[in-house]
Amino acid sequence: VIRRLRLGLLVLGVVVLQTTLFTHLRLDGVAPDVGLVAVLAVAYEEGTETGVLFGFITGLVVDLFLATPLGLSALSFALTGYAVGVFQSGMVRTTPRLAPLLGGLGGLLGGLVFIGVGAMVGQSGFLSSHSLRAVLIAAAYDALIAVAIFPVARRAARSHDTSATWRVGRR
Amino acid sequence: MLKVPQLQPPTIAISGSQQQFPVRRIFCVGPTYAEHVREMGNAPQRDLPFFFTNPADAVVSPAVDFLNGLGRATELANENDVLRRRLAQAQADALAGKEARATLSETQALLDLPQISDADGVAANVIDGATGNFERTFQIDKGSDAGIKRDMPVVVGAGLVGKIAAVSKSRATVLRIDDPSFGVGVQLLEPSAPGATGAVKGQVGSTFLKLSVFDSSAKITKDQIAVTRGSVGSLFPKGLAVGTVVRSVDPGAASTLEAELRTVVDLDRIDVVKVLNTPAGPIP
Repeated sequence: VIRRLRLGLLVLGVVVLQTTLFTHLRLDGVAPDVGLVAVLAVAYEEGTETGVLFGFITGLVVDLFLATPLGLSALSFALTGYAVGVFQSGMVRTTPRLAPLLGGLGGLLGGLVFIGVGAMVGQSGFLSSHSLRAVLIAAAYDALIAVAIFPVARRAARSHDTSATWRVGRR
Repeated sequence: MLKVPQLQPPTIAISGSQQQFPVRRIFCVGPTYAEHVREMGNAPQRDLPFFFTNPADAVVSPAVDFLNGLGRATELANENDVLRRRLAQAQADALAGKEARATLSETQALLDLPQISDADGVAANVIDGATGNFERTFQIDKGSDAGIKRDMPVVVGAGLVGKIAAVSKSRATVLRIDDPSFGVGVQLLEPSAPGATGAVKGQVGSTFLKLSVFDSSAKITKDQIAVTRGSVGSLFPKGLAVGTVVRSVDPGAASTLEAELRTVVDLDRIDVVKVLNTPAGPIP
């Protein structure tokens, strides 16, 4: 119950950050995807099942604040969470650079899924070089904020004490 | 501890004495002569005198001021010249402004632009920009509690800004007219007759709007104004200014004429908007 409460608070926190602080902290007009970065961290910590579920719920809450079709973020976050969960199951060890690396690559994957699915559901403007540019900048920004978001999100998602497994070469 | 020196009040000499009188408050009454009343645009026989106060340092020393003035005669003359020039410039500006207002009224009458200020609506402050990277929206500080509903038109002055895309109790999201998912039917204004009709949409990667005119024989000229058509079923009242033609786009083999419009309102610099509670058709 406490873990679910922690994850609920995490969703609330990232959505508040996304809709208040980061709407003003744009890089070249592009904001990072705070919710997606939290999904990446949770999926990497807990695997596919939690990644998909947490991704779907976080994406759905983020969708409530967007003018894009409802469910688009939910689907793209869930798919990205699943992909990261699968990636995590094949990992033997981790590195200190994991957070920015996963934040950047996961952000790129999530952004591409978002515009790809968006184009399929009728958002014709999503398939453009302008959208691709926004995805690339957002991914770079995600890599930056992942350094701060990952420790918090992973701690919130952790179901047992695995702190030692996240150190280099200990796993 | 910081000590603040006590300020000495201004003083004036007491007649027939060597002593000075400290001035703390100055109570005044005015106007005291009929010409002054007339200068203020009032009637001397009808309006009563009124009382007011002045700051203590408003006291003057006529003799000292006179001597100071003699010493600064050249400087004061120059200052007077500067002030006269400024006054002349201000009067010229005022005349130019008066003429501009008259021209605007004539133009509005000529174009038959509606007076949005008379339309029913709710004023709201813009409080935030878009949340996501793939939409052009902004947030306003009024929601369903203020009677705002989804799809209501949003304007600044007589210019269309967007429409309400989502509403909560105390906030609403406005979809800007330059968002690629936004579309509106428009009519181009011409001096003597109704101009061509078409549709305007936002464009990906550009803040210009794309105008498509379906009549290939129509003429599109630079700086033409496009206003909402307000046709049946439209969300927008007739006559809201949408944009001005920047350039025509070569249609190639297509039968549709195309042009790019610059929005009438600078969408990146909006502080206050009005959400119209007006059905489609002419603005009442």
